[in-house]
Amino acid sequence: MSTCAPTPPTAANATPPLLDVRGLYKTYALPRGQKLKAVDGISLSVTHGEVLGLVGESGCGKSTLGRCLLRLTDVSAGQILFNGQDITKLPERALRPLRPHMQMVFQDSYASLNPRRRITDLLAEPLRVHPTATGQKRSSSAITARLHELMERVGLPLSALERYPHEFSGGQRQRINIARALALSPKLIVADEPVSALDVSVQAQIINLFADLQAQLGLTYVFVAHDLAVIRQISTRVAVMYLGAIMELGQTDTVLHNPAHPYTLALTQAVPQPVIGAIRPPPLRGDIPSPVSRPAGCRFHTRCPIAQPLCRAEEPALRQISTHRAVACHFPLA
Amino acid sequence: MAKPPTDHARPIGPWRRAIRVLRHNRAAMLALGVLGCMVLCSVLAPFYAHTIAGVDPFTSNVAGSITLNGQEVDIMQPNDNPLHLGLTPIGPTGHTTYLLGADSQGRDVAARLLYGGRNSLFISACAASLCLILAGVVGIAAGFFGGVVDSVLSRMMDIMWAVPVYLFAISLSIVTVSQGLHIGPFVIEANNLLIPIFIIALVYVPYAARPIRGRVMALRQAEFVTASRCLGVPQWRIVLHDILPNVMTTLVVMGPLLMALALLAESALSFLSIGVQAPAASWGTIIQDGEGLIYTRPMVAIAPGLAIVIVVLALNILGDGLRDALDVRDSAHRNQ
Repeated sequence: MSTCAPTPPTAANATPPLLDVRGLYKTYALPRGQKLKAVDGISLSVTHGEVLGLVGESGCGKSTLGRCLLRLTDVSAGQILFNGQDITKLPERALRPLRPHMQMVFQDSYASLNPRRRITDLLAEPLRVHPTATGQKRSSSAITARLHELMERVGLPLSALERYPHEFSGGQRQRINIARALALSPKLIVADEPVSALDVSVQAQIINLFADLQAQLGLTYVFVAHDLAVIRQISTRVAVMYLGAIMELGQTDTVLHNPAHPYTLALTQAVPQPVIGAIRPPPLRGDIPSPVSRPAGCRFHTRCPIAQPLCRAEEPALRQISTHRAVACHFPLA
Repeated sequence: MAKPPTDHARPIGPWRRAIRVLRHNRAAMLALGVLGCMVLCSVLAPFYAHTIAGVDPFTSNVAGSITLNGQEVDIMQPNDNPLHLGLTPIGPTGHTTYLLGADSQGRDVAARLLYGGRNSLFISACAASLCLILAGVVGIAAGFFGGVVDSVLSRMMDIMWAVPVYLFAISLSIVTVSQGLHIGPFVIEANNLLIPIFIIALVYVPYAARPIRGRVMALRQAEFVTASRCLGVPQWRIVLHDILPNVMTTLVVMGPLLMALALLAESALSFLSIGVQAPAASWGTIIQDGEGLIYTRPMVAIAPGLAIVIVVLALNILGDGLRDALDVRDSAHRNQ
């Protein structure tokens, strides 16, 4: 198990990381006593103001991890520290005062907006529920002012407030979702594949919006995606996930240009190249194995082009290979 | 930059859209019209009885007579058989008085039909509404909270479900009709319309609660509910703002269908003399009055029977129209 906690680049700093995850497991019980390990012993930390990208094939547990981080699903084992506070076991009620600081943007922009409420009610809901920092109830004029500010931030006209979710395009709805996530001025936003359901041209706009907001408001993102181009554009660090575990962790540029893990290499090579006659190595063989019965030894060895006998026998721990970089491979490429 | 969708002056809410669809459904609008007429006629029952027909539909009038075409005619007439034994109430007259003839007690059937419609429609509408409220509470509680709450409520519903509806209703009615209903210090008399309303509402709760529970369980998993949890919205607000408005469509579609079932149940109970109590009328009691006259004066039983058929049919067509208009099945992903 890859429970060895990689030391984040800023661990030397006095302030605790915004989010610190230690040996996190999320197991689903299946019929006949089987267990699905969606998140299989993940440790990572996210510092203030950074954008951590989570990439991997579908089914690798990246979305489940994102939901665990915000306690939207219960955690099976491990620890989540938010701003130094252990939130792993906090009951919903005790978690509520912390909710304003951590928000989520969902993949399905339509399903995440109640179709029977106007945008103004959807956006005002968090403001009505949570008091201000000084513990006062927000006045309706303060809420209206905040809504106008939010609409401006995400680039939507004020007239949109009076409308219903179905009257908007996918990109506009995602702007509404972002506005709602921003309403309470959170520190952390977990974005769960926020652009993968959108047209490519709209994707770029939404990613730019995310980047602008991060620069303006000093936000911290955990950005889940399966598209390396998206990750490259937005994230400062990247964690490559495979079958519920982190394979490689490091600065985005380094990891994507000079992969240390054969899986990362395969992912980068799978991106179509706009070059005529470009020679592409053969794609990975086979499918991602079932997380119910994952391979013994290294979880990637069934598809790894450079697998050795050791890989079948022993699972590699996620270990530091340079100051900003960790990899879970017996034979790292870099 | 994103442009606002500004083709329509006012935002189109889900309800406005549903009404728009319903308006273009001719069958549903016809059904609505028929129901409206039925309700209007029933409401105007006293006006018809006293002003148009000039009769008292609640007192027996076996010795009376009426004037038809300037002739004095007995309400109870000698039988047509060769011996002229016994008496038969007057048949349909074709005049405003005793339009549909008289029943065995010499009362105007047409006037009683309208008064009966009042009770039948009132009881079935109230019972359906009460049933929806009860089923809504049970279904939302079971579906949203799950666990022990769901187990207890669902087993209770299963037990009620195991008893045939009519048998259940008849058993309850027999007890309450003979003794009235005692709730703490309050006593509801046996002839109070609240008794059939309560009983009919109660027996149909499991039938309405189960689909509501299913819908709520699906909604609880909906991403917008997860989003609300993520925003730290308390559970009661989630139920009020996220669950209830989305379950409302299910309730609205069920309304007319449940009212049709309630109307049939009410008629059955009244036919068995354990629903609406004499001398008050309901379509069920009038059918019972007509049972003994079925060979000589079939109109006494046919008229209320026809009224029941028409209303039940109209309610079912309206329910189907509402289902189409509200698109209950997959309102979540229609616009993807």
